[in-house]
Amino acid sequence: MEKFSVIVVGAGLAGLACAYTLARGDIDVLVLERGDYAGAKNVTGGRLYVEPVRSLFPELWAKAPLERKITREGFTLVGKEGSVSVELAGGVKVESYSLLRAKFDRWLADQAESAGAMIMTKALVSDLVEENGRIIGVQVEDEVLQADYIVCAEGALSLLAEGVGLHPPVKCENMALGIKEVISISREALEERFLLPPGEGVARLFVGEVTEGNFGGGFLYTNQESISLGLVIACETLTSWRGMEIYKLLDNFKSRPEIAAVIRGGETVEYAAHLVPEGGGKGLLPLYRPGLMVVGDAAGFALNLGFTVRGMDYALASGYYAAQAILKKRPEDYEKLVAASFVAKDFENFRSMRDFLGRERLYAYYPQKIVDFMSDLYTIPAEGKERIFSLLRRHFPWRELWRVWQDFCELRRL
Amino acid sequence: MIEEKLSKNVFKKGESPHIQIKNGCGFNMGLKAMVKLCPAGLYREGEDGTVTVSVDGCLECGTCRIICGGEILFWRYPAGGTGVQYRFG
Repeated sequence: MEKFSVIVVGAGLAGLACAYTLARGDIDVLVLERGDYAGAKNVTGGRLYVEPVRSLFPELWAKAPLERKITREGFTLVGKEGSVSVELAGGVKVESYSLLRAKFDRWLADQAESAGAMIMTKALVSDLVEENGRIIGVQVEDEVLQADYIVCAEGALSLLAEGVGLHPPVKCENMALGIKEVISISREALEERFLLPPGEGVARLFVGEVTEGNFGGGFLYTNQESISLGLVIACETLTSWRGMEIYKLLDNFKSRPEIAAVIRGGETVEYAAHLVPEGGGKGLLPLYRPGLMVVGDAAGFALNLGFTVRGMDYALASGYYAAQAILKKRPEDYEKLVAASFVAKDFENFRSMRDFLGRERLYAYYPQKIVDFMSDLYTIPAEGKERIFSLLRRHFPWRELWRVWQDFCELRRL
Repeated sequence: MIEEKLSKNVFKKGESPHIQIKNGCGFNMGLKAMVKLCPAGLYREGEDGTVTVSVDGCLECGTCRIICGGEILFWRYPAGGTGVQYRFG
């Protein structure tokens, strides 16, 4: 039976980054992908931060099929009626791009193939094969494929790592559900509506009433000729969900005036849902056991920082580190490479982020409160305007200020 | 309408359903929650209170797998080359 040096399970960013790096190092690598093509099962919000991974693949970026460079970004606090937005324009220093995964992943798979990797699509890995405590292969339908190393890049819901006991069963508190529509809109209309120079794009997050005050939020990214619009909701909120149907929540989001104005005339061309690992900061999961390495979302490499969500750069980097460890013939060093990288540093620095973001008031109290305050602030009644301090006191009485102070104190942990 | 949303997707039907409710679990509370939570609206509660699932149009997000767990649901990924094929993602 043919035996490969490395089998990668899953043609997403982590798996393909790993295969690409290995192939360039002359290692024979087979990528197994259950979809019709690389990217067929993959979904992003989303945007990719290039800076952290630029040096890992310096030759890739010039030709990468990225959508728009994000040059305006901000957030919107959403009330029942009305919203308050803050946007940074012109001062965006970070280099990041919106992208669509079906296009990007397929391109990355082509790069890996050109470098010598073999990619087999429509191949579902149902199990890992273990012998004497070592992972030696994968089960694909009724066939066992063997390799010196298996790289599990299965995605957010990784049943393989769970199946061999490397990871505990996925818990609700470590996951969020993302749903998204891609809405097609002409390039011209898009650039006009968002005040964008050609090729530049916008990223916006929404918090508050978009999730009916629950832990989560909305997002909007501009692509070349479409808008990615969606919601992310923490799964622990879902376990006691009293709101409306999740898909109706997205329809309500779309019909809000802030959104309806920018998507008008647009046609929904796809509706997607995907889990997002958000346990980040509660410590890294085990990444290695003899014969097996776990990368990308399957390893929980995503962080919700509230004002932005990251995962794709971590995925690319973790795939690269796994490949480096194999190239150096020291696979057990993969965990060390991750531990010494920006990935582990971010996870350590933002250890408390998830707990902080779990505070209900961030979604159920502040957005509505700030919208109400701003609404009154800008009101000019016929009978004369209320004094500013009296307005402030009315919206934020002492007991409320005390709770705001307590929330503020929590920020020290971040 | 959720059917209209799903109709935008490329979906390749498989031979056998990749999600099945285990025998006698149709009244589970987690399953009932899925009626509202499934982003594709694939869980339905019948008049007698039992919940059923249809996998046509499934987005393969796995939310039901983590809400209900492996004790209630027999949950696998669909066979290679079947199920949703995202064209944008």
